Amino acid sequence: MDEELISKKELLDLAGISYGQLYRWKRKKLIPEEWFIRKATFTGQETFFPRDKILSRIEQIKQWKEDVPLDELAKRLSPAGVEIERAGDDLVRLGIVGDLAWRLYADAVPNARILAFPDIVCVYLVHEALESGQVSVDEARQLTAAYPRFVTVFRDMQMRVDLVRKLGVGTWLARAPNAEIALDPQANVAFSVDVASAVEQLKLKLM
Amino acid sequence: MGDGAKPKLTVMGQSTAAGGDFGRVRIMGQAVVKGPLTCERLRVMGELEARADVSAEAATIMGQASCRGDVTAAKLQVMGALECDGHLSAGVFKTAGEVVVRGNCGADRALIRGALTVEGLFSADEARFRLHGPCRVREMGMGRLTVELPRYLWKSSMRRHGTLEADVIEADEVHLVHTRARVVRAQVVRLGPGCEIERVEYGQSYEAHPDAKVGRVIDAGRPE
Repeated sequence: MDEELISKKELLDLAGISYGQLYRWKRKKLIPEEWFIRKATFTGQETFFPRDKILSRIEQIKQWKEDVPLDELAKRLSPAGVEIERAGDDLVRLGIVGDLAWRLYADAVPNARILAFPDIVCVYLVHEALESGQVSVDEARQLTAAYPRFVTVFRDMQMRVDLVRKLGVGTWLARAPNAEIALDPQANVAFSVDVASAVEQLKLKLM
Repeated sequence: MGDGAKPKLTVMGQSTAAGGDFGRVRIMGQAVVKGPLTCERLRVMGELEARADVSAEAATIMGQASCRGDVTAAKLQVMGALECDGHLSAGVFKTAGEVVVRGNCGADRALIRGALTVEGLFSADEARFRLHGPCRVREMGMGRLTVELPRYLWKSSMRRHGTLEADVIEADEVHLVHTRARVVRAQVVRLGPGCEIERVEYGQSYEAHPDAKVGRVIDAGRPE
């Protein structure tokens, strides 16, 4: 999983921001510490960033910073959970998740009417999986069963969830975002989603 | 919540506290706080040893304080000594004593008039160093950084002053004197006497005093 990196200088040029802004956003926790990757180069140590993540994050910040105070924005962007509850039907009505995803979840978890944020994430992941067209309904149902276990291991939701399939049999797998995996050559990853960025998108939709 | 809503904590002699949420906290004697301490106002005139995080709206350290965790304050003023093993973050950060931060140190505005050691990144929108003592910072990321000599009323040239040492300084605008750094990167760079910089990368303008020792100067606006 080699992500494309961008150097700090390139980033400032490309995004049109200054050192002051970059460090202010870092201080306000709008840009996570893990994205500052230090590497040795011929001019000494330099800082690099995961290119796609940082560029889209900076676009978001620029777009929102006029209307929302930075501290509030940090809360929205942080991968940690927020205190939000929504009724499942509302999620469908708002178009955040599809009807099918919600029905699958409601079947798997009886009595689920009002969902806390981690549960909303689960429905959202199921929705994304179904939307991708790579995941069967049955496999999506398995995800609702596997998800609580994933969250107990990766409590901060910094994880990537993959569907690994071999000879038509799929199984769900959660791992740290940049962790390497090696697969049986006959198996392949049918669907993969970065939960932290899904959470981010979801928050922007919900708030 | 008003001032009266939360309990006060005053330590005059020697005492141990568990921590908690307070209104005003005053330490005149010696206090050990074992758990996280949150308060509206913290005033240390004696000695405080905090074994967990400390957070305050306004904190004034006139004695000695050491903190094993993070220090967070909207307004932090240090006239004595502060040692922080975690990260320090403050809105307005003013020092006239000795501050050691093992982690990162962040402030919106900082005025440093004493000795400062930051082992991580020191980041601020605007920081001003008056070199009364030795300052050592590994990495700096600033909006505007100004380093100047202390202001004395007379015989200022005979007085001793400190220096600032840093590995990397990155800012929009820097104005330095008596600073030793490996790399300085900024849009606007102005170097005064006593500077020793191995490498300067500037974007808009560059000025150097004849007494400044500079290795390489690179106009970052143009390809090398």
